[in-house]
Amino acid sequence: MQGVSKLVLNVGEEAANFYGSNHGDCRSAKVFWIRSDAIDNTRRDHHAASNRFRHSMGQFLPMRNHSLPRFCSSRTVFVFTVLFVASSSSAATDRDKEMARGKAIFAQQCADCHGDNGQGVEGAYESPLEGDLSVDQLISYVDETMPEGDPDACSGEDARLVTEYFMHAFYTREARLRNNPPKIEFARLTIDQYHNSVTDLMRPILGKSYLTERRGLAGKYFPDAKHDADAVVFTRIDPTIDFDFGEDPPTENPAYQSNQEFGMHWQGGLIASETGTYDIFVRSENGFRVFLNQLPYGQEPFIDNWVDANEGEYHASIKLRAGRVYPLTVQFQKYMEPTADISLQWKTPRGIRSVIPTRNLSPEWFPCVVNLQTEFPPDDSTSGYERGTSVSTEWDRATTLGAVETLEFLRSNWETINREVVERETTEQADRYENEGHQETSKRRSKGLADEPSPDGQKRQQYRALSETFAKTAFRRPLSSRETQFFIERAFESSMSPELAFERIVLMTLKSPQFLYLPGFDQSPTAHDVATRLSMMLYDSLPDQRLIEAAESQNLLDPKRIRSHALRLVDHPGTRVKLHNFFAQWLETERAAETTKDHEVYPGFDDSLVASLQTSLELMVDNVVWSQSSDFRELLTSDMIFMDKAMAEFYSIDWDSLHERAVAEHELSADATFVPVSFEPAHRSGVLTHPFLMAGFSYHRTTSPIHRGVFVAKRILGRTLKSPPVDVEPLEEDFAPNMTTRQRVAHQTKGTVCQSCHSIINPLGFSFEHFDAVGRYRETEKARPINAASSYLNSQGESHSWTNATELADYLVNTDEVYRNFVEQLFQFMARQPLAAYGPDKSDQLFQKFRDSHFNVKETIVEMAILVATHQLEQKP
Amino acid sequence: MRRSRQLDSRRSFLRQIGTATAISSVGLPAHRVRASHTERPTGRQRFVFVFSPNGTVPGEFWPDQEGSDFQFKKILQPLEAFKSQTLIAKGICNEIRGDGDGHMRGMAGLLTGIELLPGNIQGGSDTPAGWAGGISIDQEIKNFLQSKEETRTRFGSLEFGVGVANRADPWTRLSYAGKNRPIAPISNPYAMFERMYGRSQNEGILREVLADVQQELQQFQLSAPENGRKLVAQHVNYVSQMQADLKAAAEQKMAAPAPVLPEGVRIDDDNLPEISKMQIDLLVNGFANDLNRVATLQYSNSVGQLRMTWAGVNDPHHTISHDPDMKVDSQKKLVKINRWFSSQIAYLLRQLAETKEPGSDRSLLDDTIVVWGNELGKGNSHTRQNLPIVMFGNAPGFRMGRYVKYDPLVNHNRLHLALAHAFGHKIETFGNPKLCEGGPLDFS
Repeated sequence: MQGVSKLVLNVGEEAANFYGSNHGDCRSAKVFWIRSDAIDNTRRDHHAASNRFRHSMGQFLPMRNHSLPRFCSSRTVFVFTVLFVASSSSAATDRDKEMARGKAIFAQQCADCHGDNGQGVEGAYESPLEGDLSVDQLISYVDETMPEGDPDACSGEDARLVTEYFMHAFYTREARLRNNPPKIEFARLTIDQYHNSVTDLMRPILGKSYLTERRGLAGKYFPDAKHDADAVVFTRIDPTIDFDFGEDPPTENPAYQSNQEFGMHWQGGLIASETGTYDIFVRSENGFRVFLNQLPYGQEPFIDNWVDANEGEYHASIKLRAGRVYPLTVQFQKYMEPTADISLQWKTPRGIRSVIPTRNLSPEWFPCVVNLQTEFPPDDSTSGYERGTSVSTEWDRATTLGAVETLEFLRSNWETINREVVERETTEQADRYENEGHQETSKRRSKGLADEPSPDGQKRQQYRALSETFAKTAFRRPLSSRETQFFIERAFESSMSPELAFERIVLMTLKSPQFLYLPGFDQSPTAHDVATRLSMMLYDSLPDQRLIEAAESQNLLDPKRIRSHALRLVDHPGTRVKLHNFFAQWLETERAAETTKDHEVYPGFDDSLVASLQTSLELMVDNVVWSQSSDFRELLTSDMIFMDKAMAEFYSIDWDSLHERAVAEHELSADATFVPVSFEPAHRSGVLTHPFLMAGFSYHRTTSPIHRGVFVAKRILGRTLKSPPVDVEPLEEDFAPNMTTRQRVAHQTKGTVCQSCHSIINPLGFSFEHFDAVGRYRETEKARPINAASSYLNSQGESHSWTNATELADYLVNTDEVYRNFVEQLFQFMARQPLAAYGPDKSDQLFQKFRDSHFNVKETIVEMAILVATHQLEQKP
Repeated sequence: MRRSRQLDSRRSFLRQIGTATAISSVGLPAHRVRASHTERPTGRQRFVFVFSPNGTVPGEFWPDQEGSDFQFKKILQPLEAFKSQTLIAKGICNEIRGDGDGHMRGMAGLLTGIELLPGNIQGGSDTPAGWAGGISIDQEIKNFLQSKEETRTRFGSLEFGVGVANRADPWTRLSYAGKNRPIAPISNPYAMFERMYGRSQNEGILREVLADVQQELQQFQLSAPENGRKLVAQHVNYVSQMQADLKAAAEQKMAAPAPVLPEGVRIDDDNLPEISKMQIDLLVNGFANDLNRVATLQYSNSVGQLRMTWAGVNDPHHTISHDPDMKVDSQKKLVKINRWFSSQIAYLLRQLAETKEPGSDRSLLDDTIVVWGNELGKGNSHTRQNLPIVMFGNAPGFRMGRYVKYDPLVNHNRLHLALAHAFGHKIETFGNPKLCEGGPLDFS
């Protein structure tokens, strides 16, 4: 079988030579046998592969190679056909024999350094023998370099046998999954799930809200500083609050003529687009106050400068959560001051200061929401996604503080709650009364009935019912009779006031393990478990009202119903936020957002441009994912980019004509700040060439093919890469002033030690050399034409080549690895559990569904949610 | 008619600060904290570990001359006033092997002296390794002190952070309560204040509720799935701790008044100088009130990207730490960065030196050993040899006012042993036993 290695092998001649000449050097060997730390979805153990083969080819194929790709391209089929079809008619027995021989060789020649099961041996080769190199690369390596010091002792057929053995036994990812199958871990709510749950739990008793398409704040304009509701001059929706009236009134309305004072009252909602601390600023020389997530009476304003009219700026900070809307009221008065101005601004968690944009304001009415400011220790993210599989003192303490904070919130909102809860029933009665023609009651109701308390007993009953609903919603299931007694009855049977009893139940509920932990996966789910699995998987919060109702009527054990709820909830605002976070993590946007450039080389590339670029990328992703086709491939191939004025100027595009065209073509509002545009379609392809990522994966002055290549290898292709084995200082630009970046990187990574990973990284990274360190397209570097041509060896050992980034994108959209990797990454981010824990076949299943749906991201999320929701669900006949 | 503006500083304080933290909810009333001067025995031994990341600039860090006649180089110059209480030790290395990159092993192994656990390959791990495989030395010493009545304090240890990234991975965690149990530092001084001095107005109801919760949790533990019982058991423990802490908070007597923190400081990297000062003030105050005898003060995190504009450096720290030695401009910036860390330690030492042990003439610094360390020796090579370790203050067996050089190099596990022994905790090994050969380093 010498021919095998020669046929497909392409580790790089240089690499082979290096290893060949360094048998004695232990370090060089270590480097090559890189331990896997990422995912490779492409290989499965031979049983699965052969089964699939039988299915897909409709015939029995004698399988000896266990690294077969599952969905073979015609090319692979050809290769393996050539190699193996003719081999043997009793493959299974032969294969067993070969495995046994391989095992014997391993025990004899390899185990001393690698351990019996490749686990490593201290003082020899310490790292476990695992990775994602192709069978041919490995055979060749074993053939030529192993065992260390006596490479001839194992070559030819022996090298093949031993390689096939250890790959099957423990080297490949499939082998490792088989030897050590992951399990679904018992988990508490993650921080996001906790925050969302507490907020949603309290929502029904704070009043309903409806976010419409309208944006801006609803303004009432008064003729004087008194804000008398009967004297409103006019009302309108203001897109932003950013006015400088000078000595004039807001409009030329005659109502203002006789009076130099005037007032305004803006009301609506503040829409947070990311989670974090916001600074809210008001700049004005007049009197103003701001209420944020507060009622505009009875509470200390968030920012208060009502009577101290000095030109100045006032600010306060608040933590807000992405996707939530907070009631916002701004009151303004001009009294004795000669001039008037007001500007409402913010600094977002990303640190960008601006007038609060129209898209973050809604003119509708919103109730207050529980908006916990308690700090939680971050969730464990060592697996690449946040998960609630550990507890700590700080976490427990935070849950206590969170419960207390909720209590404080209740206390400052009793009035609303009383109105919503206690009076609702009375109100409904009043509605009926009103319909019968009794106007008086309706007037009385509008004044609020809180000053007309219902009889004590009735109020107690209402709070008791409220408490039970509260606990039930928090536990995501009905209470047992013991729990009803323990949580509810005890408090109401005591002499506590109904409010105090409710407070106590709120604290108890929020600290209860029934709330804090998610249902386990160790047995068949109840209808309520299914509801929880769906809601937590999709939008990280409690089941919504319709899910609860479905669970209560036991409908939710029917897979059809589960599907229809998953379909409905994929459009939940929380799902959008979660998916947004997934893409941010997958595309490493946080890292790119940190990028800075040399101002001398790249004038104009500043933090606010970076913020524009980030928004642009996010819009691009959202636009693809939430479109009808939700086609993942478009993320890699679309040339449509969103641009604002700052980007257009930096990338030398005429903004006015671009804007005008886009507005007309896409029927956008004339004040749209970001507009879609086809950007350098001959050169650009999807998110990968988006200037935000191109700039983010670059150095201060030069590009970084290594960062770009690692990103594509790990995030897109799911290849296994390890940290550099030797500590290397990256070569500076002035190392060799005549060298291009590509030459410099190639020079520095040419050593065999480096090549084990850089043979993967470099070709991927070099493909983007047409994009400079700020993501501009270029034809030359240092007066030399750019060379972006690359040849890449995939994990099956097949070589692929291309000449630029768009061709790389074409390769990627035709590569199963990319889809498998994406599905797995997305799944574990959503489920917060490893995919393989749901069964060894699930990765295949989801990939199949992804493909069948034409790579529809939304539909695939639905499939994922169903997979989780129905896990171990016992189907009733 | 215009009303005059009513100033209510407490409420505005709550508004500005309380909105950013949970203070308002748990009710801070600092006025409840009474100063009382009870007699306490002197000689309370304390330990502070200060961490700063990404290696140092050796040429501007290590003195030229060994012994007591050494001169401070640029990075350590801000500490010159404490020369007689300084012990600079070169040649200490972190030799832990196994999984993880240089930064990870540097960080997770720094205080634990043990290898990282393997990463979660099944999950498609982002990191090649998991958490450290053992307890860190600060927690080891804390546990030892907490195990004895005469050295027990309310918290035992407090973990302060300054600009630590808000995520949990092996690059961001310094202290470990045990294998696989990283401890998150508190990077928000207001949250730390609340932790140390907060008294809940809801204490009564909270204590009642927690007793019920504990009962419920124990029941839950029995019915939890097999793979969840250990987790819930830990949870039960933490609720007990919280109950004990509520009680301790109620009984807390203060020897020194709580510090007054400036209002409304936004917790972000731009405000780190102020945050650093607030944290140090809290740390020193905690010692003065004997709330804890062990503290860690973690600046940023391994691979941290702080931009120290206040020190004249606009570039992110980790990025320039990779620049080669010959890039003079970057080396200068790295000196500035490390010099700033050094100036923070100088402030800490000054505060400790100026604060008297209540009821005694000794200063806090007289009985405190402060160790400043880093996960790397040098940023561009990721070496974990010659870790920049400097010690300040005093501890039994530590002769200060010197620069010592170890040749051949010594394992940092032996430094941990020396620290434990200084506290009377005579363990023979700590972390990976193989790296403990030779026993505790002799600093006498």
